Amino acid sequence: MAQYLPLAALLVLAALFAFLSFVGSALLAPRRSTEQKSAPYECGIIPGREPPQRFPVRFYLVAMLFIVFDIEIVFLYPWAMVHGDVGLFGLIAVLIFSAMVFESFVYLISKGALDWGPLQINQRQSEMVDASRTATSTIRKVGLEGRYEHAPAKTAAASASDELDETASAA
Amino acid sequence: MSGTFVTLVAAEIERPSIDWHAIAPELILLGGGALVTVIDLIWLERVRKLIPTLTSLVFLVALIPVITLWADGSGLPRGLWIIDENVPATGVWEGAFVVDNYSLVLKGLFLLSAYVIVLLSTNYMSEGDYYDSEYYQLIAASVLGMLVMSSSRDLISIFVALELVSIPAYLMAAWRKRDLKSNEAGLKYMLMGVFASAILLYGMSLLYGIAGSTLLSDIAAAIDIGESRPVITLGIVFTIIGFGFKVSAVPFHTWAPDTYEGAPTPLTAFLAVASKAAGFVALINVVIVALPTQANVVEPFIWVLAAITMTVGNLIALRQTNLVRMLAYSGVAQAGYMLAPLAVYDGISDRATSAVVTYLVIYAAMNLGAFAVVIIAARKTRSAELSSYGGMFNYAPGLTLAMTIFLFSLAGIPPVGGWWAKFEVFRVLTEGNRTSGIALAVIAAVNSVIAAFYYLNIAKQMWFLPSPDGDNSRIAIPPALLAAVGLTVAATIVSGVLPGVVSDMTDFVNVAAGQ
Repeated sequence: MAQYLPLAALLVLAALFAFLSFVGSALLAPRRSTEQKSAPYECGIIPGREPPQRFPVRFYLVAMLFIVFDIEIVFLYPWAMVHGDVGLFGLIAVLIFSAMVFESFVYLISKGALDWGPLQINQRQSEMVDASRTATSTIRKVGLEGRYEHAPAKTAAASASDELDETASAA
Repeated sequence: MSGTFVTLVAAEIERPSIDWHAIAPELILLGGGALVTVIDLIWLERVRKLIPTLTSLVFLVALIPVITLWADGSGLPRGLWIIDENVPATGVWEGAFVVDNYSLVLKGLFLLSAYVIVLLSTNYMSEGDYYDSEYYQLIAASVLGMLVMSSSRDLISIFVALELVSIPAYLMAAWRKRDLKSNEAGLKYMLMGVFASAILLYGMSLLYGIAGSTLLSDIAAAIDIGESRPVITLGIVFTIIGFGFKVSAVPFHTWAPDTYEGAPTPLTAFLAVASKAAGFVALINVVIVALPTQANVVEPFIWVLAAITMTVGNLIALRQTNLVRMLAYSGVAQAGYMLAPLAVYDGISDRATSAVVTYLVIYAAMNLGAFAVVIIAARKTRSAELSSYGGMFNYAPGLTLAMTIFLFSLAGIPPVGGWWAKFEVFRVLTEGNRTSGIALAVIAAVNSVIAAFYYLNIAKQMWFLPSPDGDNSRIAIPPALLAAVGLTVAATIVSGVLPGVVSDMTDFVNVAAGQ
């Protein structure tokens, strides 16, 4: 096991270092707290209110849209530098690549990433969702009880208030 | 087909011509997956029912070049480029992508497993009101990573392939969106997976720092110095730990049970079979190709991993009352058996590779089958609790028989497949009469006995105990699930009765040479 001895020694040293750092800091460090030291920022405007905990999911979708084109550009630059040398083969290759990246853009559009207007619920709410008997079906769907307790049929007003969740689902 | 583009332009940069036949499986999967996405985007709801069929067709079409490459065995191994004396080699990707018998067997395994997974998923996804089109596209992306993985002989392509396998799986693990357990599954899997990737990258960076090349064969040459150096040991240990997470080896298995339980059950089958196999392929590639001279470092580490993986996995599985969790822990234990041949690979690396791949192939058949039965049973009982399997013989005798075959196979009882997989492992372990190998064989044998207890306990539950709620109405089995069970039963029985079918395919020669 001689080949593992250096690793074991390193492991012990690392653990000792972490342990001794904490002990040394606890023993030696001066504790003189002031109001300024415990403030979130030492300078600048003191925040008046907390930022919201949740952001609408569509901001993330825009961020992803950005990344789609970002990646495309990252790969187009090197090609643009040498496009004369790589010729038709390179052109075809970069076109295939662009088509594939563009597909993810089309996907985002198709799933409503840029629909910033009033929310349109295009979520699939099939009758399967409802475990109870409905007007169209007298058959009780076995085994779906309790699985959709969070997805009752929503009124327009209720869904508007809940639009963060809905946008996430639509994405 | 090959070599057409080179003649199009007289270019300054001389390109070696691409071997289109060799990368056809990957290209078909990539193009097919993109096409399925486009079809879904254009027609949306109208084609939703067709998406699983289309995806499984893509898998089957991608299997065609795998078979033709296998039939055309004379040209193997092949690389990404056609070797042409007149064209100077670029050097960059030379030898990083290798198509040989070993990688072809694995590509076939991945594509067929993916096909069965789609069969398992079809009803589950369409009846569960999940986003189902994206699910199949993600499966295709993950399988593409697996195909690339089986040909990768380079640290970068191994890492990219591993991420391509994992990232879609993180998403799919959380697919049951409104279920807290599924969210937990996805989050836990992602955090542990990212953690593992970080460790893996650290190990890889050390190996690269020593060798100055990411190519596995270059690394093998660079670290062949006849002695052990701490930095090499550290690089190897970290790399193996990174793969240890992927194959859920103890003590890096902690994500597996929760992820398996919370994820959609077809995806659990996918993780337990295909994703785990991909991790093993990466491990084999690195150990066999890059570290043939470092057996004194690799072997003790993998020996310990294998021994505690099979023991801990089996002991915890004994106490599980949920069948999916039990299969998860049994999968952990099975990973221990699969690791075992790599603990004695010094000098017999081809035989060790053959044993691991044989195990992977047979394990895929029997474990996918077991999950298929779990999915079918859950359609009636809405539960994966062990007690809910009581009385199954009364209302589903065929299903009970199929499950018994899978359980016997998992336990390693002849004549069904699993015994041959274990036999191969034991044969490699006892080859050369090395003390470490025989000790590991003894541990594996004891573990097989422990495992037989909980596997047969499930069978007892199904055959002899009454059903818990007295509901003995029959289970309606949809055609897709019936096909999945039929395929896996056939594969499990054939691989056990005629082990030559599997072992002829997995009889590799000179895996390490590649190209």
